[in-house]
Amino acid sequence: MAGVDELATESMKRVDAGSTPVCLAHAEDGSFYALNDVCTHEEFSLSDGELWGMDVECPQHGSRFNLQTGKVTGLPAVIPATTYPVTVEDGDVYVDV
Amino acid sequence: MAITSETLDQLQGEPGWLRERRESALATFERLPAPSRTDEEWRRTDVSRLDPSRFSKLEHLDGHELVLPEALPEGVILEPLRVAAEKHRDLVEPRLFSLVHADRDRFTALHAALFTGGTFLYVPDGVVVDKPIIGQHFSHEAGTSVLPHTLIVAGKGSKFDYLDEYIAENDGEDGYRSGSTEIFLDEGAQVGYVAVQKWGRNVWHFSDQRAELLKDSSLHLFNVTLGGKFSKTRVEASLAGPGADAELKAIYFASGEQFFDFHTLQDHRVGNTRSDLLFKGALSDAARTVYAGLIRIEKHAARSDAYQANRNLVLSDHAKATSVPMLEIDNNDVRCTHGATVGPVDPEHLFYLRSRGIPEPTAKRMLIQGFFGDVLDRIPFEHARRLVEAELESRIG
Amino acid sequence: MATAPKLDVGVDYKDKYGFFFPEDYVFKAKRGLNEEIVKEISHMKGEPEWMTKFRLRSLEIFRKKPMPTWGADLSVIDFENIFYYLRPAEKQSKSWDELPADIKATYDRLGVPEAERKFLAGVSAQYESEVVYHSLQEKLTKQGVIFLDTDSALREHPDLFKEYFGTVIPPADNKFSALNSAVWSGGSFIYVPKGVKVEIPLQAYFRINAENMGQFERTLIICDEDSYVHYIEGCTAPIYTTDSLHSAVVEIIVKKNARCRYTTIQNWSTNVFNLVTKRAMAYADATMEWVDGNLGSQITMKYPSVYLMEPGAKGDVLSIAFAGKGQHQDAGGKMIHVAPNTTSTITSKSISKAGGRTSYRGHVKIYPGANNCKSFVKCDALLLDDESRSDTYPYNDVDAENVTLGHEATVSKVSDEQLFYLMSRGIPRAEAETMIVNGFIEPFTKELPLEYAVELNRLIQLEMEGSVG
Repeated sequence: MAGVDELATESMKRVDAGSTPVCLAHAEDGSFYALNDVCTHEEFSLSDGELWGMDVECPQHGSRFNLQTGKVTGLPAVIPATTYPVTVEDGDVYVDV
Repeated sequence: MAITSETLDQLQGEPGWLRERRESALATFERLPAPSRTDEEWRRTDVSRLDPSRFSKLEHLDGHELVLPEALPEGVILEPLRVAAEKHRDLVEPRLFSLVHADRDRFTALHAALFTGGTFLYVPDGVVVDKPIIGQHFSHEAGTSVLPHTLIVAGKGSKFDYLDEYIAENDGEDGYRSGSTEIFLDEGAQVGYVAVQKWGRNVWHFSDQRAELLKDSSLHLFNVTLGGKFSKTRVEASLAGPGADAELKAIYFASGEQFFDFHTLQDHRVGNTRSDLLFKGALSDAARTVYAGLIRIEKHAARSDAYQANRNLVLSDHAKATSVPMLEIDNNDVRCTHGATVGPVDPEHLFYLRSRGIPEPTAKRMLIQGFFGDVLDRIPFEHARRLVEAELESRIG
Repeated sequence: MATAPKLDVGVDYKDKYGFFFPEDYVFKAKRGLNEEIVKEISHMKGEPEWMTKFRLRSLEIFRKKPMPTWGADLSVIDFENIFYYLRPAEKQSKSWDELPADIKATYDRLGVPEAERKFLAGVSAQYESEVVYHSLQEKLTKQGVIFLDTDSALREHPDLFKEYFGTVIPPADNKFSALNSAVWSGGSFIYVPKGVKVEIPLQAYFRINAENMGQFERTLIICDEDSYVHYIEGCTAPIYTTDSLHSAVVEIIVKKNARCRYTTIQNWSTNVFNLVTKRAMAYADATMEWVDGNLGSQITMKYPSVYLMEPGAKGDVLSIAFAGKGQHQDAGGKMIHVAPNTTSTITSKSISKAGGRTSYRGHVKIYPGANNCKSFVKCDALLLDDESRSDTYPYNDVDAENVTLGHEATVSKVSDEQLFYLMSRGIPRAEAETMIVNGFIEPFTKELPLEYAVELNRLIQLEMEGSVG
């Protein structure tokens, strides 16, 4: 998916796993997290948003999702985001979609 | 292969003015940005996965098949549009793409640049054509573009019916399809127009059907949308003369993963005009439909009467229906009503039929047929009615 | 309609609400919006650090967000010409007599103390940026009801506050929720404990006095299980030739089997931009009702919404809008069905006259899995002359099974038949029109406490007189 060096701490990028858009986040705790990039509210791209602690915030309306669980932590979204397991091996980040 | 002016070279034997028009529309296509999700019209309509340049091979260069009444009355012109552009330039040039503007979006621009088949129909003042004229547009190959355009000019007091049928030879083919129509109704003209879209289930389809109605003219337009994995249709009537009357009806049946989008406009530009719109659709499986319609009553359009309704029958828990019926009313002396419903098959009706010993699938089919029944009665002429009923029957069954 | 209501000729907004007093304030921030002002507001209020950070972050979001490209034309708002914080008095009072004379005189003229004596359980009076007067019946205090201005609530109930604040409407929801989150001041905080029913209404009255004022109150209401509260807000301002801005955020949480009714009689002067975000979350078998009347302001954009979070939740919006000369009321409601077996209704009545424009804008969304929901929206618009305009923009999204959703709207004029009938009985035309309008909005007025219904009818009469006088 990506190299560890490509993504600074507290930043995100969009990667495509087949036809699934994935928001890959390098969180403040140093770990990588992956969730479906499409906000469950109005289908904007979460990776264009911002990280606030362990939440990703959608750029369009401020919906928040927990990076680890995908749980909604702030309206207006109400449906949890799908999360995907991430593994890091030899400086590369792998997402299992 | 990209779409360039070389793509246009597939279209030989056209007059210079048309080639210039195409070049200009192609430049517009290149200039216009892709629709943005923040643009209301495209908010629920995702075209990000469409790359039209994959379909730069144009099919259908020689026009299409026309089913003609045995003898056309004198003065009626019925020609492939590209032929008429040469032979009847005075009639075609001022009207072509004057209702469906090439610069409206990337897809109208592409259509104006590359339209292939299509018909030009001119019915002079006072002429009545008894039997319907039928234009059948076939697609033969996968991976191509088929882009027919119909231009209809109805003279004063003329009266006729026209049917456009968009037919796939192979239901599974992918490709880029459009089928747009411009209808000019002069004073007192009466036109029945039916479009039946049954392209293959994997194509992208864009269609603009727009009519301009002058004084005391009446249009009965009926749209049937069945094909395509993605189908976006605009149906628009501009009521530009007092006494103009537009009836705009449609049915759609979306199944599998089909996505249908309809945008309609009833534009009452002057007073004493009437419009009546009813779009009815059924959705099954994981189909998704968007209906957004606007009634606009302009400032001086007093004594206008407008009606708009969208009814959706949702047959599955994975289908999604969006309905946005809108009004913009700038004059108080009007009567405007609109409504939208989204709902399942009425459980009481189902229960009633089942209590009569009718098995559930049959009962459901009967209720779907019943749902479409009232609107099917509004198909303006018999031939089209039988065709649509048969199509629907085979899809519901 | 046997007798016509008596018309109160000669009184108008200017006399009754449009007065103002010279400014004599404890603190007035400089015009314009920047980090310094946001920090200053937070500092003056002695807020915890998390709130200062929340405000600064919200300011950043506000700057980034584009203006809405739909709805009313907001391009005329000059954010640098607004006063974002005005503190009118040194401290909040529990007695009207302790207030500075001008402020007391204001509320006396508006009839707030009288209303409090007659039919309210608690009153909050906000003047510019701060709540200057506050009361709650002792009985309710003893039952554990909290009714405070929002600033005091942050100080006195920090945990309860932090648990809910900003969870219903995030700063990034829209440009104006971001603005409010950056500079909020005042508003009401209500907590109704489990099983407590507040039988008579609580009221807040919001008053702008100064020119180019920005009022940004923030309201948070929590109805615990099986509770009930009816909250009423009213607002007015003097008429200035330059613009003022009112941008509130209202967050409501209605827990299991509770019911909350929120009534607004918005009567800002016609130089006020009123851009408000209101949203409620309703849990199992809870009921949220918005009764939203918009009469004043130059431009209003406001769509109270209910998120129906759990089965059995019910949402209602009853909206009335009146747009006269130069006014645009862009109002409506939103119902977001998250859970199955939830129901909602939106009823909108709008009246446009003298070139005014009313727009109904609404959204009904049924999420996947929210099966067996019912939603019905009905909009009626009345156009009183051919200069005026009415729009209807209803968005309906259904993603679930066995959902019944209906929307109906009509636009009409006062019918000649009705007018003819009344006039043939000797009722002058103007009065006849007023009667028809009052009849048209009756579904709204009958939901109001009597005193408000009388007042609303009187306001409508005044508006109508302007049109024919």
